[in-house]
Amino acid sequence: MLALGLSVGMLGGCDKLLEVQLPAQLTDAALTSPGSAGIYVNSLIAHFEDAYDFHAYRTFGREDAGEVYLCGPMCNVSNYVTVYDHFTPFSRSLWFGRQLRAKLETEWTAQQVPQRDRHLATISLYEGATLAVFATNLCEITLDAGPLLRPEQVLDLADAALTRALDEIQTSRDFALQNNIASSAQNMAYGLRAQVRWFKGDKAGALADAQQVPQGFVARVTRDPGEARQNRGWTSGTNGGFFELYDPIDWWTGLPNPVTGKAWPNVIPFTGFTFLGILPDGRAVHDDGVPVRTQAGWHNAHGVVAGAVPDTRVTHRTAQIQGKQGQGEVSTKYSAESSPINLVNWKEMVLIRAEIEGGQKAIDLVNELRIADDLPRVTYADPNNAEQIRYMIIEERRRALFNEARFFYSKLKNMDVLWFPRDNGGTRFQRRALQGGIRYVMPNSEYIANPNLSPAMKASACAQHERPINPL
Amino acid sequence: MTTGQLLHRGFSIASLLAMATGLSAQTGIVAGRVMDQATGGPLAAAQVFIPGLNVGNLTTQDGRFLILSVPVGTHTLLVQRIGYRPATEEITVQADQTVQQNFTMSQQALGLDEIIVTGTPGGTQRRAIGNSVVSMDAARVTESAVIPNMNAMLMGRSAGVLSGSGGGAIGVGADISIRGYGSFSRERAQPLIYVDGVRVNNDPSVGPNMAGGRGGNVMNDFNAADIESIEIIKGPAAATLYGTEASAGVIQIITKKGAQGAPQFTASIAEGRNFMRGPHNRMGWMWACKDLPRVPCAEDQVVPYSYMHLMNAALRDGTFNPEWNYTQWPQKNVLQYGPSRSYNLNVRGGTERIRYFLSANHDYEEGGVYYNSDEATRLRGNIGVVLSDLFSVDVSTGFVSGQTSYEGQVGTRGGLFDQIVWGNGYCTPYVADQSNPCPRVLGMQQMIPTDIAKIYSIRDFDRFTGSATLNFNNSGWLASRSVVGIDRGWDKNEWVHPIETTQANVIQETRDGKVLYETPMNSELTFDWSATASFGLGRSWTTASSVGAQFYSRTREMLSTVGEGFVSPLSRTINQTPITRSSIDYEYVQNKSLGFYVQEQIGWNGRLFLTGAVRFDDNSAFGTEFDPVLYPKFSGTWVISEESFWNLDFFESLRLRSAWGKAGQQPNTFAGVNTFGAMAGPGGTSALTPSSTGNPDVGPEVSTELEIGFDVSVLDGRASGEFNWYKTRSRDNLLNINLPPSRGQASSIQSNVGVIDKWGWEATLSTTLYESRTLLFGIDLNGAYTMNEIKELGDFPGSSTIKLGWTYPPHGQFGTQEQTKVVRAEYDPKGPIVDPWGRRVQAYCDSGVFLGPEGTTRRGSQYGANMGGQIVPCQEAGGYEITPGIAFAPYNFSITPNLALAGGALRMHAKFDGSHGRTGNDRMSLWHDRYNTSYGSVTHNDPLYSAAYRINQFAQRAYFNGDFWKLREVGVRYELPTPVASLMGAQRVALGFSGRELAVIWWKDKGDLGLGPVSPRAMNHPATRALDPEFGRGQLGDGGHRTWPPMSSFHMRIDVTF
Repeated sequence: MLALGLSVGMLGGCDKLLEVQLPAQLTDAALTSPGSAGIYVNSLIAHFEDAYDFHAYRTFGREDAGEVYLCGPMCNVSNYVTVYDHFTPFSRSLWFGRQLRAKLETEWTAQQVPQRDRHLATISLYEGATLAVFATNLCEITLDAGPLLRPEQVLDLADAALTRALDEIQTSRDFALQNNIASSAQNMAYGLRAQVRWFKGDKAGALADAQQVPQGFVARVTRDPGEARQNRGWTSGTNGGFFELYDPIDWWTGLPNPVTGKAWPNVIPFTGFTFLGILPDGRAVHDDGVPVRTQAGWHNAHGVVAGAVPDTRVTHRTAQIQGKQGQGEVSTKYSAESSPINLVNWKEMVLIRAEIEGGQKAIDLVNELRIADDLPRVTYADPNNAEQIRYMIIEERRRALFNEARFFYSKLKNMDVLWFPRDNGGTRFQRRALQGGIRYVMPNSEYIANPNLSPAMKASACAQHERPINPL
Repeated sequence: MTTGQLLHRGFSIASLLAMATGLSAQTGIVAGRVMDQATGGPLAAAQVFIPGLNVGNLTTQDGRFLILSVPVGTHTLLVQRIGYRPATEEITVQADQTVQQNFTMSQQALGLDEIIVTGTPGGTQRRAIGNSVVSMDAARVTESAVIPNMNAMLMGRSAGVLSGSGGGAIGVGADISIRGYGSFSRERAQPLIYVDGVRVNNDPSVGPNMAGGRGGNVMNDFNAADIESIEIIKGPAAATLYGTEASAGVIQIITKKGAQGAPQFTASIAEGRNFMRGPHNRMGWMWACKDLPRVPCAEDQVVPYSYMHLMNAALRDGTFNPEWNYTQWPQKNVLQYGPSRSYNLNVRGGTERIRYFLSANHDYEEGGVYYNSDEATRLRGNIGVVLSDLFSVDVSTGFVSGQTSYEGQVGTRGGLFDQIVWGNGYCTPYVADQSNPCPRVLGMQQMIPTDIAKIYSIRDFDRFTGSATLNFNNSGWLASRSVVGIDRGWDKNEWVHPIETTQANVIQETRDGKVLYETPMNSELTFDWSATASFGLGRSWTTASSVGAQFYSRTREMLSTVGEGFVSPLSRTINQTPITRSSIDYEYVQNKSLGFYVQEQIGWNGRLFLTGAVRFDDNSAFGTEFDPVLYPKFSGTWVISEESFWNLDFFESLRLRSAWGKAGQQPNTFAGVNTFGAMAGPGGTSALTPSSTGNPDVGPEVSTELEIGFDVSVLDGRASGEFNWYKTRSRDNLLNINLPPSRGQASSIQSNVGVIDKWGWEATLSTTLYESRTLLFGIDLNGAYTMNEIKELGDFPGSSTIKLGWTYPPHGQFGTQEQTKVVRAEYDPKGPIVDPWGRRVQAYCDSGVFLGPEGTTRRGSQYGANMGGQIVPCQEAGGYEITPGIAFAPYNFSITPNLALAGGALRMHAKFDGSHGRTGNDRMSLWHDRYNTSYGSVTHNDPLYSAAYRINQFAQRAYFNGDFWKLREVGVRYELPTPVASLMGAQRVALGFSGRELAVIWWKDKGDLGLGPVSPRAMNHPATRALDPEFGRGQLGDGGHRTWPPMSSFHMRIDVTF
């Protein structure tokens, strides 16, 4: 017993022997001083931007842009995976925002953190942007391990966050965000809120916000050289030749339109991104939804019309396609790994206004874009033909917002005519299964680890017509 | 008086050494020689002594011994050596006379009196240890056959010890598992490894982080030829004194030591070849459609083709693809007979005071392709010094420097073998109209061999392992041992993708070039002190009280850089990438543990021993709220055959034993604290990201084991063996529990949850069936049953791979998709499934057997289901996952016949390994075909395939019958007659031949590749491939479907002793 006692006593007295160095790891102590406020801001933006970068290139696939032959980093694009795995970095952005807000509101004073008001506004901006992404991509969402929320609820939260951002910008006065993210925080907030309200169907609110965003304004997700912050759309698709742009799709034999139940036409409307053209009368899309093209692509000549001029907004080049054993077209939207991705684009604001106002006003607004890009103005359209105006705007969004992850939301709002390849079908050549889904669901771990959820609840809050068919 | 009683009377080696000097007037000399009965050769380092007098000596290199100053009279002279049956002779010593007494020792699998290295100083006789300890004569193993690495040394040689094959590629290693898995972590299931008393790095996965993880096991850094013996302590009941981290067992490696006598040199040269046995037949054929690329194709349009023939023809002719022909591939065939060379030189000798063993070794070998190689140079110096009558010191040093060039170096795609077996049927030019749609790849998956060979993945390694052991012994009653040692490794990992310039680029990384450069450094520091005081309590009772303290510190430091965008096609290093496209990471992990133990052993008449011990451990990884942990043990052993009432002469000895004890496994280093890592912020600013979320309550997992067994020797020692039954319960198992991603913190938190039970039995039997002066024949047998099951998960609801009622680890190749449900299908006009031809199929699924806690039947996300339920239409089977069973076959056997002729001059052995039971081993031979489009050409005509594919419930795709027998190893050794050796100027000359992985003798699944009664028609196709029953068992429980099947080899060797 004496020996036992001695052993216990020795262990108690030898704590110093067990002290270890962890120089490569930072602990909570790194975030306790007011001087770390800037680190919080950098961290919340960095996580948002990295997540959005993945989101954008994944969404490119959801916009039916093309096909991957050599399964690799782009594989998920063509597979239409149904789990939204950038949910985690987006949530981390929210976490850094929550932590910083708590410290700014309860611990750190304005004297200690001179940029306090701007930090608060920045937190709200990115919170709103993150919630908007969640609400428009996922069909059910949880925040901070809370209960399941429907997208409409999260859209309201995004709206509220951006409204708060505008209030905080009033307090701090407008400012530019770092690294040329945006020249005006206020314009960025209006643009983001316009997107949210447009998606919600708040036409008046969307119109009012969109009108606040001046021509030429963009807020961007910035990218930097190097593997850590490179533009993955450029790296994985454009640069490497791993993602061949589709010609108009004429090979689909899978499920019919999930909304109408009707079989798809032989050529799927609003598909194909190669050799897009515009006729001298401004027409970019045929009445059947097939885009106007200047020449045949590698696979077909659907939509080709003599006299069309190239649409310089949808650029691509011929490249050796990895895995195809042949050439094809790859996007040149992004010219470098540091190319930024537009988060708020004034062109989308114009198109939101066009969609809401309709008629001749819509034509005039579209022509604002055409003039800005020196493309033929629209003269063919009948302002009283609502279907024609609708098609014009859909196609204009497809082109003006090419590879910016914004056309996907047009698809969600026009599911009666825009294609969602679901399950039971595959890509043209490799027959990779398109696993099927219109919206994403959260990662499995959320359903397992969130005490408010269970695996059985996966996709339970999704609307039936948006629910992933096979939400693995 | 029995041998055990003789030994028990306070004998110690050190005391013998100390007292075997000096003469007196009434004394004489005892001299002689000790020989091995099987080999006829001399036995060095055998202990020869007179227990009653505490005098003795060790035999020299040539087996001779000399004991001076032996008092006149009649004495019992005893000789003992590990692995041999002790022998005694009565001698009568007369004053100033020399008594000549020779011994011939016969081998013995289990010697009750052999000294076992335990946690206490000086070792302990096996008879006093209440648990099973495997004692392997490694020197004899390496003498009998060329042993390429430590994995091969352990594989199948000890019941209950499993080693993965590591795959067939050279340089890769494998996990080692002792009594299965009791942790939710393969790393935690690795046994501790000690080399000459110092704890060493036991990482089973080192090298560049390539596809499927890192490749090597650092245990293979050691030279098998330098090892004298290996002792394996199997479970918590035995490993208590080793404390936290020891619950998966302990492997003690004891390197060769010096021996008294003139320097004796041994040179050894081995030359051999590594090769894939019968690649054409084993890899079989693939299928293509005549009207490519129409997949699926009609049944009568399917054509098989031999892939290996095609590849070799393409290489020879250079006609299929100008980018790959004999001008760019240095050999005439795709696969080669890889050279394998090994050179060893050692010298051992010494005086009474100083003994030494020095060795140098160089190994080089290549695998099935020329760029897969492993090269190492090793040096060892072991010196033992008797400082005084009380003190001696043993210094052990080893250094290795080498390089491994790995085969599977292509991104997420594995290597050449992977490309071959995943070949695209519709890309082969072997079609009737030559309308090959993708001629470049020749039917390979995505790359041709030259694409792969240009990439290289290398581990450069330097490692020093050294220890100094100070022994104190005051003539028997008090002994202490102090060990200080270090194991330090300096590795460099490179993974280089040069810019592709000569042919079309098909690998993303070779477009601009990419390099990974890492410098992992490991340092393990051990301080170990222990002491034992032994006393006699009257005529019958003895007591041994031991105390010990151990401090262990492990540091891992790694600088990693990744760069993209080489400035030139000639670029190979990180500095030739622009700084803007490179990234750097630095990892520094330190862990320390401190433990103390107290042990009391009470013995009665040298045949009954009771031992109790307790160990206290603290560890730097324990949470701040967690107290030091206590591990107790108790054991008892009774040599019942030495009791007076025992009258069964059939038994030479019978020992009963039982042990109960605890040991642990520590949490991860950062388990207790929140940590953040740096990340790049916008515009080059600094930002943070959560690395880990700390759990202040985290502590070690604790395993409790009960082991019951017996050792037996019968028929005058012609058959001896042991049997163990054990049951281990691991509580507070460490598991990384996912945090909800929506919290925005690290992805998981390490927590103590759940219970895993593992149980089984082990049996070994060593026999000498016939023995004469010219011929000796025996068979060694061992077998084991190993099983585990997850019993509790606490509040953790389970995951897709961890559920109650399941084994751990899951077989890994498909991760979470263990949907082995469809067992039968047939065409049925009323069936719900439509195949590609519009035919309707009805499928039947195994509805599974649900297992809740302790055998109850429950359903829910926490509870798993196993195969074996009712067979019902799949639409009625439910949407749950079913596990196919344990990741390795639960029954494992080994049979090793040994034959010695001509007085041991010619020796032969063959080692047969087998297994039985369901296993999740990854058989590419089966499931590759299921996914391959060429196979689809056939199977789309099969209702089972259609059913499984259409409802995404693949039939038995990861579920195999693990029954097989294979000829794992043969060894032949012929020792030239001494006169012939003398003519060559040598004392001994031996020629050897050995082979590994020579044949699959029987494989239950070979005929139908595991599909059994539900075999689709393609399984009966003559073109069915049949690789190897252990294919994919690169790591235990892992899906190594991109690894090579086990590589065969032949070696010739010559050993010269002079």
